[in-house]
Amino acid sequence: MRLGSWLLTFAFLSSLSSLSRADNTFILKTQLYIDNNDTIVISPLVALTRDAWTGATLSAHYVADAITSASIDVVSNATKRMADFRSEVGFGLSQRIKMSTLSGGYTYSVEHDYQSHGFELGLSQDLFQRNTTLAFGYGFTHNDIGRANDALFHRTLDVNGASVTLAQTLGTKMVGSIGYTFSYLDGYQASPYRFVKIEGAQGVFKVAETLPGVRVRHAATVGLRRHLFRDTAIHLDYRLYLDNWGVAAQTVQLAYFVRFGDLTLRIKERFYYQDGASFFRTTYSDMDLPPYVTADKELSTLWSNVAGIKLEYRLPIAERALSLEAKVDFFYFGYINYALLSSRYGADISAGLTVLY
Amino acid sequence: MKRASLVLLFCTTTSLVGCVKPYQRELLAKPIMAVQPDPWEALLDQHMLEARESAAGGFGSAGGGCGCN
Repeated sequence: MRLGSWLLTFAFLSSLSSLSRADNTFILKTQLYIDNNDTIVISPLVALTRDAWTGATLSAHYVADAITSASIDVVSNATKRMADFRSEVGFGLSQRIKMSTLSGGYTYSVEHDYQSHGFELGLSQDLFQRNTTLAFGYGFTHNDIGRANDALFHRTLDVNGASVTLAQTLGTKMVGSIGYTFSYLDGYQASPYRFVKIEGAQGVFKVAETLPGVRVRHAATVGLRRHLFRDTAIHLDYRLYLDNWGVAAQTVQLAYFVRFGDLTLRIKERFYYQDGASFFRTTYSDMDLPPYVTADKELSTLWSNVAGIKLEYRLPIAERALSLEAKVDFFYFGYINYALLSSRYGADISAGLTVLY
Repeated sequence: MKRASLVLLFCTTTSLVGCVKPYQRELLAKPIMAVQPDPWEALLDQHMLEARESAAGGFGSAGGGCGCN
C-alpha cells in the first residue's frame, strides 16, 4: 500500500517547535525487518535538524528501503524472488511566531517503478497559557506508478489529506490529545503485479487486480500520557479507522517508560484488528463476481500484535551530547480469511545514535 | 453573543481539567512525556505497518512506496 507522507511529516514539523528550543540534532538509525515469509527489509535513516534563525528550524532526512522477498505475494505471481530499493528525501521548515508555529515540508520518494512527491503545510497554535495546543495540517501527494519491463504502463494516484489535533494538559502529571484525520485518495490503488484467481466453469483463470479509484479514509485518535512516579510514564493510544471500502480497524497501544539516570527503557505493546474490505473474498467465482477483485491480504480480515523493548543511553561524555539506542519489536499477524497465508511473524530490530551539536 | 458563550464554555472546560501554570510543568516537560517522543522512529514504524495493514492515518503516515510490488 502506497500513501502520502504528509501526515507524519506534519506531526514531525509540529514537534520541531519543541526541538527548536533544544540543540541541533544529527540522527542515524538503521532498522531491519525480517519475517518468516521470507522477506527482509533494511531501512537506514539519516536526519538533521538545525536552528536557522530566531524561531526557525530546518530539517532534512534521507531514508531508504532495501527489500528482498520471496513472500507468498511474490511466489503466487510466478516470480521466485524480488528485490527492490526505495529512496526518500525530505526537507522541512518550521517557524515559531509567538504562540503559533507554521510549518511546511516536501518529500520525494522514488523506486524503479514508483515516484512520489509530497507537500505539507501545518499550523499549530498554543492557547490558554500553553495548556492547549490546537494544530491543523494539510497535505497533498502525487504518485506516478509504473510497471517493470512495461514502459507503456503508467498510472497516477493523488492523495489529499487534512488533520486536526488538540492536545490538552490534564493536571500537572497528565497530557491528553484527540485527533481526526481525513484522506481522499483518487487514482490507481491496486498493484500492477498482482493477479486474482477466479474459479469458473471452464477452470481457474487469473485477472488483474481491480480496486475502486476513490478511497475516503477517516481516523480518530485519543491519547494519554501520564507521569507515574520518579522517572516513569505510561502512554496509551487508541485509534478508530473507517473507510468507504468497508475496512474498519481499531488500534490500541500501550507504552511504559522508565528512566534510570542516563538510561531510558521503553516497553511497548500494540494490538490491531481490522475488518476486511467489503469486496474481499477468500475465493472468487465468475458466477458471483463483485465489481472489484483483490488478492491483497492487507485488505482481508486480520489482526496483529507488536510487543517490544527499546533502550536509550546517553553517554556520560561530551556533555551528554551523544546517545545510543537499540530496539527489538516482535510482531505476529493473523490472517482470518486469506487463503494463501494464515499467519506471519518476525521482528523489527533497530539501532541508532543521536548527536546534539 | 453565541460565539462569546462558546469561547467562555471552552475556556471554562479546559481550565477545569488542566489549567497548569508554567512553573508546575516540570513533569510534563520531561522527554518521556512527549506526545511523540521519537518522530523518526515513528516514521520507520508507520512505514512498515502501513505496508502490512489497511488502516492509515491518525498516528502519522509513512512515505510513498514500500517495495511491495
